[in-house]
Amino acid sequence: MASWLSTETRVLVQGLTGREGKFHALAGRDYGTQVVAGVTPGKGGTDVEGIPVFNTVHEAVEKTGANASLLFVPPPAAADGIMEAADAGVALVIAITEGIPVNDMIRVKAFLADRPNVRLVGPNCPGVIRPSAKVKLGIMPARIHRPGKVGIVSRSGTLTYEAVGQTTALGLGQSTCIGIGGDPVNGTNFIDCLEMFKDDPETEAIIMIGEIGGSAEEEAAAWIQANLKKPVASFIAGRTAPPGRRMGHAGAIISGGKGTATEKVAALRAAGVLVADSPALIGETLLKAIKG
Amino acid sequence: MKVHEYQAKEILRRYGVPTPTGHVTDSPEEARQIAKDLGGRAVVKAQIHAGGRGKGGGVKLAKTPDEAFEHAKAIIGMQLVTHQTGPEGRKVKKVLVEAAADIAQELYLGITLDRAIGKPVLMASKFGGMEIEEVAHKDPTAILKEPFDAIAGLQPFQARKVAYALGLTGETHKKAVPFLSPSRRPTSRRTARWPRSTR
Amino acid sequence: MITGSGDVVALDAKMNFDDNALFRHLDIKEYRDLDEEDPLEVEASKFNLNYIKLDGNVGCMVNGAGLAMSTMDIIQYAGGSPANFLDVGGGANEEQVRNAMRIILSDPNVKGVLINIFGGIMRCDIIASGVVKAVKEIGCTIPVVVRLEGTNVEEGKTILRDSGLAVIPADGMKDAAEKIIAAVAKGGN
Repeated sequence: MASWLSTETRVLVQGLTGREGKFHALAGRDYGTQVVAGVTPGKGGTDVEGIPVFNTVHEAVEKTGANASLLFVPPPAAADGIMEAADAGVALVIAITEGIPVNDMIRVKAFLADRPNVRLVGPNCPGVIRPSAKVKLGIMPARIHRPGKVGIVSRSGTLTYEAVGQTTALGLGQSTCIGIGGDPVNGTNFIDCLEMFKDDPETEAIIMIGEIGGSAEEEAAAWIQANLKKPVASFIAGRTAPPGRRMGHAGAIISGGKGTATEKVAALRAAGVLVADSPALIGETLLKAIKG
Repeated sequence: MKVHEYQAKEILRRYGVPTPTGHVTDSPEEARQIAKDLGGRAVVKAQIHAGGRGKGGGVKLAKTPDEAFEHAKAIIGMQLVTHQTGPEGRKVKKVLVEAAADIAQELYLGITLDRAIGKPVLMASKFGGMEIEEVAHKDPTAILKEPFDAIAGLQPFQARKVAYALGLTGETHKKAVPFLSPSRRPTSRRTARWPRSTR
Repeated sequence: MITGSGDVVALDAKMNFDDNALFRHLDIKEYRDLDEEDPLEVEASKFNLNYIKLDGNVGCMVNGAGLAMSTMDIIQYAGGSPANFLDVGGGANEEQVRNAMRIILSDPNVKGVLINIFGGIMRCDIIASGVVKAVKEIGCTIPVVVRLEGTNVEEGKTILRDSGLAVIPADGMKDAAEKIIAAVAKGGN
């Protein structure tokens, strides 16, 4: 298995007619991505800079052969949009929207359980990019990326850019970068991405960026120890975060003494992962991991 | 967003969950009257968004309406310090005055999100009245966990299972099942009020 | 609890609601008690800013929760102490940025401000003009270090340069953290 993105990826944008949807759809197209359709209920038949807009995802898929969706639908309707895309058979759904109610996402998870061929990334994430194929489904600034060998997976958006910037500066470049999002209930988790990186020939080394809250990093650490030979470097955000306070992301909260950065760093180090102490040292830490 | 105990209980009652009779107030005089209406014995509880109120001196038993007045006077306006407020504490603005309960056994119940499976989970423990984090830390097996489907809701069979595991039998078991798995629709109108109105 | 007569009653109750879902439950939203929240946090929430007050003296304004947390981490790593967590979010406008700056500066403990922006959905030019307006309006006298990267970074840097304000530019997070800590130390506190 290789990256979820390829030159065959044909993107439809849910919420194309909105400000952010339009801005990032066009930025993706400028980068080289095939943006083939937009979906906004009630605006079917119009177009955005030549990209045709449809009323439903089903129609967009049927008319354009879209096989991936980039979703900018506002929070109250976002879960509905994800389920619509899944129902229309879109194999990869990238949900950028921030602020979706947790209960809505629990329903989405149950809905997707019946559709195992659909991969949801996010919500509340920056998206996915594969520089070598010139495919960008997300809001990340394209110009900081270079085709290369580092696979990056992160719960945080802008912190992913930090890791990208550092690997570009070191001349390593990136294979595929995935933001899995900062919500407590999401589609794709760390292990899904690590499995893909394991089998992806383009990926030679991995950066995993976690943050406080939950136990996804600990679970990933156990998986890495049992399954992964490729070098892994990591950083955990929130060492200075006070317990009981939600640090922006709905998922980033230390509760009942669980989910602290200290626990996560310890679990990763025990699994042989090199963990950077400072976010400025992510790239250098990866170099160390590569050199062994 | 956190809510106060008196507000949380207002919500529970809307769904048919029994709570002690009581009333919230910011005045010691009114606290005395509420206690009198409740039959004299009452508990005066500080209303702040933090746990550990009892240990910090924010929960007091009053045997008479005059004691309820004294406790309310002491608690309203105090800087209540608990392990959750930080050293500066939290200023108490209101107290809940409730009928003193005849407690035979305290249990713990909670519902939270199990992030690993993306489903809600009911948590229950025989060790009520203690810091639940402490219980979990000392003996994780002391907390029962029953994940349930968010769409179907917690089913009666799950409620029965948990009630048996808590050691509840007979009539108490029968009462515990609807308590654990209450109506999914409000049983009374949203405007349901405490026995006496606030203003 | 179980009562002496075998009844099951809720003796105590704590509830916490998903802020993202409150728009659907206006009855529950009415229960919000602003007295229980930090006044600066309440003020920030009016502008949809994610602000949490902490005890340090370096104020920070960052886009993205993960980067905001890491900015706090790197301030501490460099020997300082963060005064707040502040995520201006993805689609912040100039008005929000201006208010974010005002809220940071209204904390009397703040002796310096670190602005760390890696623009994706957030555009650097929007941040820059918001900061310039706020600083001019409030008459900020403490050091401000700005690190801009990402979408529309050149436009953002130009706005800051042409503003005539004494903001200190930085390259990268480490440089930014070290510069603000040095500037705060020089300030005498």
